[in-house]
Amino acid sequence: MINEKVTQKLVQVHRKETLSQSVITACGIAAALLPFLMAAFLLVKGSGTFWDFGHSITEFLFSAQWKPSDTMEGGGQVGAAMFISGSLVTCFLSLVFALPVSLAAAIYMSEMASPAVQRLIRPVVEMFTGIPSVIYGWVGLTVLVPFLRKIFPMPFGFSVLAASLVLAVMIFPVITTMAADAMLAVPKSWRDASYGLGANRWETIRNVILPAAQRGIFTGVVLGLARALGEALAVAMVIGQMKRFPTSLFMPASTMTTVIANDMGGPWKAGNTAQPCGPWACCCL
Amino acid sequence: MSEQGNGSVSPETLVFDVQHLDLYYGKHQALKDINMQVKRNEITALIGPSGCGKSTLLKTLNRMNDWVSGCRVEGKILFEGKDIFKEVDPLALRYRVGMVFQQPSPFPKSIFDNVAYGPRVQGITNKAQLAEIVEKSLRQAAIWDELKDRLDKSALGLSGGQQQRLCIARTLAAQPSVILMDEPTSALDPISTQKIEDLALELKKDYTIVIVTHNMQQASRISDKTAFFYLGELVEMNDTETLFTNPSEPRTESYITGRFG
Amino acid sequence: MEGGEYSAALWTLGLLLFVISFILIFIIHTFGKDPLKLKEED
Repeated sequence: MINEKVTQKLVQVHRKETLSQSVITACGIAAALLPFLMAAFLLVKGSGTFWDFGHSITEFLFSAQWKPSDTMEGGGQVGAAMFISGSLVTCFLSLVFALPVSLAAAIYMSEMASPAVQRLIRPVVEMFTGIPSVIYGWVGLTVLVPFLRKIFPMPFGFSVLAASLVLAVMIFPVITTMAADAMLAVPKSWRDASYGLGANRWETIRNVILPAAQRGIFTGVVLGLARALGEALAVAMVIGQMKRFPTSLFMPASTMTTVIANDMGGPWKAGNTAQPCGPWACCCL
Repeated sequence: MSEQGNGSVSPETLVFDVQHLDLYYGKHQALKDINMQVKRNEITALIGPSGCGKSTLLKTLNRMNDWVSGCRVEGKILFEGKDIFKEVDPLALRYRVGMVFQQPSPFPKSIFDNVAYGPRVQGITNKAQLAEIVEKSLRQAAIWDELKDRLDKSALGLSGGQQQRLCIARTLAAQPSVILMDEPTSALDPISTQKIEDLALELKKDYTIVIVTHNMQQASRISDKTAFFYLGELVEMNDTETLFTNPSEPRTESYITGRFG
Repeated sequence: MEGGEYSAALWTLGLLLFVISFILIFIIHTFGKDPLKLKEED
């Protein structure tokens, strides 16, 4: 009698376990599969330009003629070079602005600040990575753009410079946290050895800590770059979205992301964004 | 505290003269009224149980404690007659007083760049000069033959014992007159330990060595003078043989016979 | 804008962004953090 009951219970438990096991396995497989599915989808949709409409990859990447027709017959031009260079220029420039400041902040945070100050600054910097991009864009729009228009010879204020500055502020916390982590991970024994040989703080930072941390710093830079390249909203709100090459710091331009965001049928048009989006942005906070 | 030995020491042979040294980490007093002398070309061993202050004293001799926030020092330490807190630049002090640490910690650089680090910090940039110093230091550390064919390889690929001898060469390359060693063999195997002890005995001909060690046998094997510390006080200091065979203080005797520690 | 060539072109832009992000992450993977692993093997 007892044996039967025990066997029944065991079978029940076994069945429950296989059930939860298979559910979990299914979720795991789905999670791993999702990026592949997205990639496949993008690949199909994205290669339509080349298969269905007969354009070449060289034309897409390097031609400056962007006049795709609105119809299914095609016959237009799809030179995206303006947007590609717009993305590259704004992102590269944002790195130029952000990197020195990030490195200095990271060095201060890991080598010079007292433990009490460190405990205060770290969470603040990390918190900045979570701020929605619309806030950056909104502040850029309402504060930075008019300010730039005042002090520089630019017609609109909406410009490559504005976009680069906004992006620089956005990627600064990304680079700083990774660089500071990398520097803090350098073993104390190396610092001690350097000081023991008579080096001062700057020599130690330059010769021991920065070289040892360079991979982490590099990772931070690349992550920052990835974030900058993918940013659509904040850039769209301050770059002016003119379909032209980024020939001047002080003139508007477009990036790959702003073109997608704008022309996919969304409501963003430079200047009008502030009115309806202000209250929305407050709600986001 | 009892101290015996020569009554007066001529200044040329006196490398360190510690006078009434008190050291505080915040509110905690780690060293209490230390009076100690270190003579040239001798190996002085600092022994005592964990937390007795021997490492703290060692790190004060080259002012490495400056980097510890909250550390306060009162009293005097004379290095070759000069007060190291008032009359000597700490960086210059560290050129003359080198340190080898417990964990072998070569930089993640080539063997050559590790050894050349000290001279470069002191401003030597001439390649030929650096190469000469590197070779001389590696020979002094008895590791030239093993490493001469891979000077440009990373130092991290060496074994623990080799790394520690490399660290010793690195310290020697800065051309100090004193080498401080903070438990240099406690992380190593017995064979490497033996090599480093032999090295210390060789080096004392040209350098003055102060070694902190947990291992009493090591102290009795290689040192000329031994100082026993307990709870921040220098309890007894004497010629090594005398201290181990005929200690004057009961605390010293208890420690040596293994009753605590 | 309805469908057709314009939307196809924008999709291609999206694909390009995706490919670039992929490349960047691959770069991070290859060049980031390897020496630390080497050191731990000691």
